[in-house]
Amino acid sequence: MTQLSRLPLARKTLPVIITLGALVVIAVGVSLFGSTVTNRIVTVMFVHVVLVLGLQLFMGNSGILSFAHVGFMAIGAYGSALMSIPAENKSRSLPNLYEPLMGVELGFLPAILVGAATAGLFAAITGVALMRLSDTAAAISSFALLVIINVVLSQWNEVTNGPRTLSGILKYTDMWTAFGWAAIGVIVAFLFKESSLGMKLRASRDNLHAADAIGINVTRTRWISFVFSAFIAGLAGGLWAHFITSFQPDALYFEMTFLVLMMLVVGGPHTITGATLGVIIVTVVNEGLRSIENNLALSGALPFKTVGMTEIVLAVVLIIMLALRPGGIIHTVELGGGVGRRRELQTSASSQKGTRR
Amino acid sequence: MHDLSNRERLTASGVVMDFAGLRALDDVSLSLGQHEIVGLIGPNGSGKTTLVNVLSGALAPTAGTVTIDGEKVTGLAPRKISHAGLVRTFQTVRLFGTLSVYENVQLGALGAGIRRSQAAAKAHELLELFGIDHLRDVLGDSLSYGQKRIVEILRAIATDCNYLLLDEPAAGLNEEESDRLLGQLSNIPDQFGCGILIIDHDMNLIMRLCQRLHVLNQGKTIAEGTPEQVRANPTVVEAYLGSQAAPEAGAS
Repeated sequence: MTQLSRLPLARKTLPVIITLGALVVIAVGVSLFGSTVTNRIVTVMFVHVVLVLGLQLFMGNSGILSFAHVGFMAIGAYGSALMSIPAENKSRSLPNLYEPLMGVELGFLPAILVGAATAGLFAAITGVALMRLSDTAAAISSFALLVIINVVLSQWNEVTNGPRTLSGILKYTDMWTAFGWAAIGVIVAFLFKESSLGMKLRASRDNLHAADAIGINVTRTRWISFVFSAFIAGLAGGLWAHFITSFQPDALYFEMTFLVLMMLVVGGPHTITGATLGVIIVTVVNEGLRSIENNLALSGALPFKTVGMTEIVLAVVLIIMLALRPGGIIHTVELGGGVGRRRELQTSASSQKGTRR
Repeated sequence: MHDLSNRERLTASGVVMDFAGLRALDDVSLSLGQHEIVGLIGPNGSGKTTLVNVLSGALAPTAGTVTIDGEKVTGLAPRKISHAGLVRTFQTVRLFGTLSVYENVQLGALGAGIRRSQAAAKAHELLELFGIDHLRDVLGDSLSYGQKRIVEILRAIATDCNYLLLDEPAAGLNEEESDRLLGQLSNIPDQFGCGILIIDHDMNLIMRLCQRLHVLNQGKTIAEGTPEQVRANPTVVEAYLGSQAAPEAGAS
């Protein structure tokens, strides 16, 4: 009996330990043996873990495809930058900024929290309409939201420097900061999935009508999760902005959206272990291909240009993945979450046979 | 119209449902107490599922009223109706397939607004009571058809509902499974204070389980009464039971 009651706990905690363990190994490995380049790649990877887990929290548990999250990331990036850029830099990088914002100079943590809260607020307003939609309608609307956010950021000269590069942001994020937030992201994602809100959301994903019939307020459940998930995406934007330190609106647009969705889909949107694994795999493949592409271009060995090869190969990989394993690498049960499950299935199957006879 | 006698009843009165010129339900009235099991029978297309859809809020009736414990609930959304105390199961089982049996049952309680710790305790208790505790961590999709049926019913009971609408719970079950279901269902009204309205084509199950029957044909009520009265009713025999009931009636 004690053994039986301990199993579910192992099922819940083992996936968390595995995910955190993998991230620790990568962080320690890179800090001991890594070059400046790998350090940079891994820092961005940890920021992507935060973003993808934020996306997983909504998309994986609700089953609704969202293209808008890189838009929320952009809001978080700009929002936090506006809060943290020192006043002296602001007069240079944003000369037309509104007077009350000119003097604002927050520290790193409050700045990224304000950025994340702005993204959450924006999601809260748009989510009122968006969360009433399902399937294709919701996906297309979220895509429109991404475009709207990009257009506004590219045109709002006073606040974002328009389509040009915004610079003068201080570099606060290093690899260990990003690692810390990724670890928090993993724990939050697991806690959310097992919370009653997360369970209701997963129920609505599995069967909308049944969820409604037992009294679950699906629209409200989705809305709360959407706002929370946008907050995390905004947080990732703040971390990213204070690592990259100068960027323009198009850096957080289609290309990043494609990359992030690919990470989630390849790894498995329904599981946190899968989503994290997806970030790691796509980062490795993406960076590997990019360096091959650059070396080929430099060596001049090929008679044609190699620009865009990385994207093409990634797209082909995504198509193959979707065909062979549509639920992602880890699709339903978390890695390490199936302890003892097989044995139980066998006993239940044999007891069924017994009754049929 | 606040009728004191309907304080603890689910009632439908004069329900009419039109689908673009087709009258699926024509002036149907029905009532269900919290301690009884009523069977809703009739040939295919007679309007049984339509009536369940109207009662559970999936359809808003063209005319007529539905009350739960004296409160008018006509046309409310399914979620609101479930909060008022009426929960249904579906003709094709609708479990949460990637969630465990334990989570599925817990969600019934969570949907009704019961707190997490109490919901967990309730799910645990129900699984033990119905003898499927060993399945608690199995995912919904991995269950056999009969097990899915039971889990769906437990999920509904976990909402603490006063009225349970079961749409063909025995469909697709073998004889043994259907017998076990009969035993489990017959205890529900007394154990949980939850009345059952059940649709099924398994006459053996219906006749043994129900205290009263309500027979529909082409959207109209053609008979009401105890199983014996209904079985002896010539209109019912002609419209629905046919030769199926005749030898049984003779044997008893």
